[in-house]
Amino acid sequence: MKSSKVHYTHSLSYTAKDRLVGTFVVIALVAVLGLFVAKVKTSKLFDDVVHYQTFMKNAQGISTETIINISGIDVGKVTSIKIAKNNRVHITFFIYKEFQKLLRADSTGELNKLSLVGNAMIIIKAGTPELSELPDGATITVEEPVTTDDLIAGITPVIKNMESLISDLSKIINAIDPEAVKTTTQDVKALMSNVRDLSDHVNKGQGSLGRILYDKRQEESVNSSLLMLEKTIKGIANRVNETKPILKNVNKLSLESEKMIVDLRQSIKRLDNEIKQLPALMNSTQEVLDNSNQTLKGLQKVWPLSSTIKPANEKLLIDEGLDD
Amino acid sequence: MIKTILVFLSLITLIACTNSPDLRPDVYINADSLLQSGINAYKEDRYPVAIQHFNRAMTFYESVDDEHGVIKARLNLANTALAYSDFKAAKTQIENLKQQSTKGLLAASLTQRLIFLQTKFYFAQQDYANALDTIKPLLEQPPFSLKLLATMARLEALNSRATETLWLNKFQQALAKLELKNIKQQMVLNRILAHYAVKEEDYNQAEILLNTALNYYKKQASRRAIADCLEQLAEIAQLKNNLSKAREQWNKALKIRLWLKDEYKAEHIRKQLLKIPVKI
Repeated sequence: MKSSKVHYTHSLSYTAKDRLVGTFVVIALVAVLGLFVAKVKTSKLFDDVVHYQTFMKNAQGISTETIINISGIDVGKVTSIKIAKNNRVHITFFIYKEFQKLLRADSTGELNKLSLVGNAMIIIKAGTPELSELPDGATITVEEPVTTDDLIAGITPVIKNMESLISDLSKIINAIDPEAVKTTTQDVKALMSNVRDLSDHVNKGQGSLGRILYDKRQEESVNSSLLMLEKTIKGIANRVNETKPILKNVNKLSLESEKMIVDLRQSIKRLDNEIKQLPALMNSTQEVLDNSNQTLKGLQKVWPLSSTIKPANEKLLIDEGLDD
Repeated sequence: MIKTILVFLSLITLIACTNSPDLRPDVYINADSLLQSGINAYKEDRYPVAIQHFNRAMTFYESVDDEHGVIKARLNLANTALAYSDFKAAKTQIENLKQQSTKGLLAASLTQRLIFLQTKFYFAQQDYANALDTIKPLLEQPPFSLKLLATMARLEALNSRATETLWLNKFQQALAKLELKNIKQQMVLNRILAHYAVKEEDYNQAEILLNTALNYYKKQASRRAIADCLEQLAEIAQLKNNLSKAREQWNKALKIRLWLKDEYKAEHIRKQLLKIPVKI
C-alpha cells in the first residue's frame, strides 16, 4: 500500500512559514527595485544636464515635451516656456552633459518643418570643434519656421490678382453683342470678296499695290517691319515664360495647403479620440489605485512588515450574521 | 522636478508600508498574528485549523494575563464551533464569556457580540423562540445595523408564532435606502422571502429566489450558505413531490456538510434521505 507523504510545509512553524513567504516577497521587491533602477538608468533620469535658452517670436508646436536633437540624436528636452519682457517667447531647455561638447560658439538651431502639425523638435547644428564650448545658461539662436499665417499671407495677393483678372475677362465677354458679331461676319464676307478682286488686280500688276509688291525698295521696307514684329513677339514669349514658375508655385502652394488641412483634421480627430478615452483612463487609474491599496494591505500582512505593523483590534474578531 | 516627485513618492510608499509600527512585546504580536491566521482559516472553512490557531492565541494571552485578548479568542472559538455545529464547545466558550460579562470585564461592544453569539447558538439549533428572547437587549438601542435587521427578519420568518412582517419591512426599507447595493444582504433577503413563498405554497417563486442566492454563493465559494440553499431547495422539491430532485439536492448538501466536518447537519441530511424511498 502506498504511504501518503505530508508536504514539508505542514510541519513548519507559523514564524517559519511567515518568513518563507516574506523571503519570496522580499526577492520580488528586490527584483522590482532592480528593474526600477535599470529603468532609471536607461531613461537618464539622474544624468547631469546643462541648460540653455533661446528667444523666439513664434513658438508654434513647442511644449515642455519638445525634444532637442543634435546630429540626429535626442539629447535633451524643453524645460520651460515663458514670456520675456520684450514679449518674445523665452524657451529654456536642457541637454545631457555628455553632449555639451557638440555645442560650440557657432551652433545655431532651427525648429523642424513638422512643427506646424504638432511634431515639433528643436534641431541644433553641432558647432565647429575648434571653437569654444557653449557654457551653461548660454543663448542659442533658433531659426523660426514658416507659419501658417505666413503661408496664407503669401497666397492671398495672388488669389486677389486672379480674381480681378477673371472679373475683367468676364466684363469683356459680356460686352460682346451677338448681333454685332453676325453683321461683322457678313461685312467680312463682303470684304473678302472685294479683297479677292483686289488681289487679282495686284497679281496682274495693276494699281499702286501691284507696284509696291514688285518694287525692290518697297520689299526691303516690309522686311524690316517684319523683323521688328518678330522681336516684339519674342519679348511677349519671354514674359509668358517668366509667369510660368509663379503659376507653378501657386499650384504647389495650394497642394501644400490642402495637405496641411488634411493633417490638421487628423490632429483634431486624434485629439478628439484622446479626450474620449479620458473617462476610461480615469477608471483605469481608480482600478490601479484600488489594486495598489490591496497590494499594500497584503504586504502589511507578510513578514517582515507583519511583525512591525499593529493590526486593528476589532478586525481580529469573526463578524458574521446568520447568513449560513 | 521629476527627481523631487520620485523622492516624494518613495517616501509616501515607505510611510504607507511602515505606518504605525507595532512596538509591543513579541507575545502580543504573535498572539494577534495567530488570531488573524485563525480568522483566515475560518474564512476558508478550515475550522479545525482555525480552532487550533485561536487556542494557541488564547494560551499566549493567558500567559500575560491579557483578559481582553482571551475574550477575543473565546468569541472566535465559539463562532468557529457554531460554524460546524459543535454546540458543546460553543456552549463552553459562551458560558465562560457570560461569567466574564457578569464580572463587568466585557466592554459594551464585546457584550453586544456575546448577545449576538448566543442568538446564533439558539438559531443554529432551530430554537427560534429563545433566539428572539436573547436578542431583545440589542433592540433597545436604535438605529439598528443591517446585520441586526437581517437577523430579526430571518428569525421572524422562521418563527411559526410570528404573524406580522414588521422586521422584514424594516430590513427591506433599509436595503432600499442604501446608495450602493449590498448584494450579500440582498441574497439574505431572497432567502427570507423564499420562506414566505413556501408558507404561501408558491414553490416556483421560492425556487427562483433560492437559485438566485445559490448562484451568488457559488461565485463567493461560501460553502455553508450553498449547503443551506441546497437543503431549502431539497425541502421544496419534497413538497412538490419531486423526490429524485430532492435526493439530488440533499446529496449535494451532504457532501458540503461532510467537507465542513459538520456532523450534526450531515446527520440531519442522512435522516432526510432515509425518508425518500430507494425506488421512486
